[in-house]
Amino acid sequence: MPVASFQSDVYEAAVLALAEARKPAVILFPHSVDTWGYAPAVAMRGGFGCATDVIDVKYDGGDLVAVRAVYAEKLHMEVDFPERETVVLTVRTNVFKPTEADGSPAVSEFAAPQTQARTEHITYIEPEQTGDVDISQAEYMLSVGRGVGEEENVEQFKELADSLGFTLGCSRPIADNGWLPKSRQVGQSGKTVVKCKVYVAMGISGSVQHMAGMKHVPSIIAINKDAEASIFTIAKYGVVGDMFEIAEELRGHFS
Amino acid sequence: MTGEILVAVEHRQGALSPASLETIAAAIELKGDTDRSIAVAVIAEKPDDFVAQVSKAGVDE
Ligand SMILES: Cc1cc2nc3c(=O)[nH]c(=O)nc-3n(C[C@H](O)[C@H](O)[C@H](O)COP(=O)(O)OP(=O)(O)OC[C@H]3O[C@@H](n4cnc5c(N)ncnc54)[C@H](O)[C@@H]3O)c2cc1C
Repeated sequence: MPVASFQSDVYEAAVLALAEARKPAVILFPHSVDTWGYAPAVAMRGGFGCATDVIDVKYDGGDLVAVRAVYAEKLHMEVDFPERETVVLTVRTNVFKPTEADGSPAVSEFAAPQTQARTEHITYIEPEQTGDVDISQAEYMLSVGRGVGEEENVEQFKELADSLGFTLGCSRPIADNGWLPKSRQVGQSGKTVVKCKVYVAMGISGSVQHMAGMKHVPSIIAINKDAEASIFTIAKYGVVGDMFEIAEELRGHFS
Repeated sequence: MTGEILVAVEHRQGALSPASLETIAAAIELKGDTDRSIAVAVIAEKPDDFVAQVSKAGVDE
């Protein structure tokens, strides 16, 4: 009995029935408030392997390996599932870039089992928008890190980003200091810049946590006064220099 | 290798969630060079409404 709105019991029964009929090797769910409730239940009832909030998933030989961030995101842990024919995984949001290319898959119907939902959908409340901008959707980003030095210096980089048509982002210390809103933070505990094509990192050292949110970007331009900074290991273009001087140069070129 | 990759997507107010499209992308990446197929399941009263949205290159059913 599929319903218009989400019903945990109905979804759980439908996925279990599908799993029974199709014997999938993996069932992927988005890691969301809906699936927190029912995906582990599907795994338990089906006797499947399970890992939640995975940030990567791959086959190592024939074996499925899921990657989770643990110890307050300080470590990445690989999980395997010996002798599980089916594995349930919930996939962290803002990690995988949606595929744009369309296809033409076969379409079939599957009758979901009759299920008595224990909950009733009454109304939908639109969540309040908290961030001032959605950096996960930005195509051109200019991010500042601790190299910016002081809060009053941030504004000039905001103006520079605006004048270039870029969205201003930052590393975590900048958001933690309250110099920019948390919604602008790029990285593991911030956002992944899923749609970004060009990423300019100014005064950012390139911690693993920061790179987790931007290393996939095809054109990364790093500006750092330390030639040994890790950010240069993933940058397509690198400038060893002072971010304020480079900003001044850019202003001269584009104003 | 046998066994497909099944993706269970979700929707709200008649719209597929962005996270669902990301999960389909994860499935496509996982499929990679394997010969596994990808099936996307839409659990809904009118699943047809979502067919076009989940019909991404790399999805088989
Ligand atoms: C659980 C956890 C989650 C985390 N999540 C995130 C996250 O989501 N995002 C994130 O960014 N961090 C995150 N961090 C923090 C991360 O570990 C780093 O501490 C942080 O990314 C460092 O920020 P930064 O590069 O701006 O600063 P620093 O590492 O201090 O680097 C500053 C850089 O600026 C350069 N510099 C200084 N002055 C100039 C100048 N005038 N011109 C040019 N370059 C200059 C320096 O050479 C240096 O490389 C997380 C940490 C933990 C433990």
